[in-house]
Amino acid sequence: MPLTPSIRLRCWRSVGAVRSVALVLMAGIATVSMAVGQEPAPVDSGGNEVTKPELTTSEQTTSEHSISLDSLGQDNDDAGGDLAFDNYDTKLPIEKDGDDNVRFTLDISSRVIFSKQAGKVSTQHVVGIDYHKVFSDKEGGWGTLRLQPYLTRLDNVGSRPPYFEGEDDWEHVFRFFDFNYTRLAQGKFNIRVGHFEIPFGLEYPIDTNGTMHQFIPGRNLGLKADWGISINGTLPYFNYEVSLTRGTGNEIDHRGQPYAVAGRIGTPNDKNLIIGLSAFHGRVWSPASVGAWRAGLRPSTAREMARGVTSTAHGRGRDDVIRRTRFGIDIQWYRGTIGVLAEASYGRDYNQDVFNGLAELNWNNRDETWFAYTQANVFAQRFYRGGWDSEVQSIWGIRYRPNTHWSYSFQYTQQVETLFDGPDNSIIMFQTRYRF
Amino acid sequence: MIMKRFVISFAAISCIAVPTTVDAQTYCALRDPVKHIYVMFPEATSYRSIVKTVGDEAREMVKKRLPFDLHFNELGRHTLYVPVKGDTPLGVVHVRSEASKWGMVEIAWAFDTDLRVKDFRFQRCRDPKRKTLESAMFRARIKGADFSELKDLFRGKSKNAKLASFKISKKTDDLSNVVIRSALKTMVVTEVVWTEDLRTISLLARSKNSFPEVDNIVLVDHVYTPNVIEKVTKRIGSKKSSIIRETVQIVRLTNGEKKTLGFCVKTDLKAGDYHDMLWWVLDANAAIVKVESTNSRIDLQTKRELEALAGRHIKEESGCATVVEMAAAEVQVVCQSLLK
Repeated sequence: MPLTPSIRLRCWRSVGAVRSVALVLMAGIATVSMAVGQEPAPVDSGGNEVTKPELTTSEQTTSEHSISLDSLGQDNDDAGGDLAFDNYDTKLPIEKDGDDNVRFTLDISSRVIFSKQAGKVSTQHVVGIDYHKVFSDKEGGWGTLRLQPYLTRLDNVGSRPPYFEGEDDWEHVFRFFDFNYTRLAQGKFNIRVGHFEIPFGLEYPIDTNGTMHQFIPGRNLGLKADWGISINGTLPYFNYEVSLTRGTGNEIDHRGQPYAVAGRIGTPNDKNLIIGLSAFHGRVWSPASVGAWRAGLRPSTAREMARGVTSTAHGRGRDDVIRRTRFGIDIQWYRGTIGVLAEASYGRDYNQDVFNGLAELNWNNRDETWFAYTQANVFAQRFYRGGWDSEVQSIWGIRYRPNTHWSYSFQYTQQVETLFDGPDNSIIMFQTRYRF
Repeated sequence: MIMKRFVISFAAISCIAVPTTVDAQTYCALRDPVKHIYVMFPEATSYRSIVKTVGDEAREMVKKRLPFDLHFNELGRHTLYVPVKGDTPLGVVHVRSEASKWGMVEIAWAFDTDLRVKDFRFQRCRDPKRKTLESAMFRARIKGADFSELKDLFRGKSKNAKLASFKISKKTDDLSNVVIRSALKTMVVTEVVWTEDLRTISLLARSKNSFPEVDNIVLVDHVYTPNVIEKVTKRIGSKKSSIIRETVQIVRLTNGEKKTLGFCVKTDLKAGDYHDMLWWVLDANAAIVKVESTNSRIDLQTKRELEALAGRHIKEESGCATVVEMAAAEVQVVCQSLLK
């Protein structure tokens, strides 16, 4: 019959004690062999037997050290051994300087692009760092710093972001470069400053930085990330972010009085059905959008506009800035290894109506080493000259990630329709990425 | 010509990108469970983050203690969150991902300061049976469970070990299996990687909850000096102890005037096949105030025996009738030695 710990406890006493013998008899003879008179074998918390070390001379003196919450994370996690309980104040002084609470990664990637229309091969090489640190003090964490500066090299790249000055160029590109102050309301109301993603549409809840898999066609907002300030938060039933930014993307420039106000409110990201509503308004630096808008004007209006336009020596003037408004809805639905995503937005570029639609079907295998997706993108604009015109793209992509460091991606884009009846194009891209 | 250039570029990039095993830190891909921290610890006023590397040591330990391995996504830099109420730790939160037939399942685990399950939340789970496991009923079934209790639920030693005695419904077996595996892995990884932090957290929590007026908490190292060992031997009448002395953790608690308020002691107790981790709270005179087991399956009788030690001051050898009474006498001797 198995014995309860209580009975066993009563059975361990030395045989020499009459009282213990009586207890042993009460518990049953079978228990005598269990451990009577034996020194227990020491075990670690996993129940494995450990060897008792003899106390050395240096250990024969009791020592004392105060501990507090500030002792947390102060040990060397690689070295092991004794923890340095070297703080004698339990009133939680400000965290010591050091590299604790830091995640740091070197990120390198190379991309080869073949465009059928351009008839050439282009390459893009990127090297940068991911730096993430949580700041804490006596009352807990109060801010998060993200620094992601990247050095980007383009060779022979025709279609590129406007801050690159030519087909072959070096540029410092900032992805996230911001600080989020989180002290105010337990994550429900934070204030962010720096360079961060515009809170709009699917791109916002899904991190696609550094990948070919994207959700934000350049023609729609013209911005992926921007310099500015935002309020943001996570509540039990929704999350939100509202931002006021410069409207120029990677670079800060006041010419043309650019700005962007954007906001998104969405249901929690941990669910399998996620719905978000977004809004955007601003004057955005986007030469390509200005070009498309101007091309769609009535001839007389275009001549009037041209008379009012002055460009700077760098080719950037007020004509490079477009007044833009969007309202959008995005949906993510996941079941098993399948994901279905969609985004639709409607608005105006100056006074021309614009519609943007995106639908994606994606799949990953069970340990997510493989990920595949197909997208359909529609961008339509109602020009004064010729009415609605649209651009339609079909995208097919696959990514293989054999471990935490490497990832290989391949993407094929087929332009089904282009604005102003331009020639169709096919683009093939391959990317290798390594994160240390 | 164009295709040739494309092929050359493709080959060149592929050549420099041959996969190798590199021991390096990587960015944690798991999202911060900010919302879940406050849901699972509603009394928390804030939380702390401790970022450390989950590497080969943790992987080996998981292999050694469990019949399954860590996925590569589970390695790298990860964060242990410590919810606090004022300056008192309430427990820990850690997020682990686990492969399932529906893709990776990401779970935010909440443990108490003795690493027993408090609650969990899915950060990502695409299994259609997710709702059943999110129910209060399922969560209640694993609430309070410690490592050994959860481990005993598994049958088999291979990586295909399945839950043997934990049924919600047949339809949820797969996901239940994933959730319990995740809990076990999270416990081992947390224990291995954040060892010293866990010790500090549990000592701080126990001390502040036992003596709210405490001003300074002093960890005592190398308490078993020859002098103390001699006193203990004399008190319990034997050189043999049920306490594994190498693992004893003691803090002395003082107020603002540096006056001792009491002690909190954590002991690993082993007698025969009985093994338990006990928390002792003693007052300024080294009298026992409270004794608690961390064993989630402790039986009622043992629990009562431990409760009966409260208020006792075991002075003589004759006062020790049981293992825990001997341990109590030893703990008292040790704490008395710190009063002098």
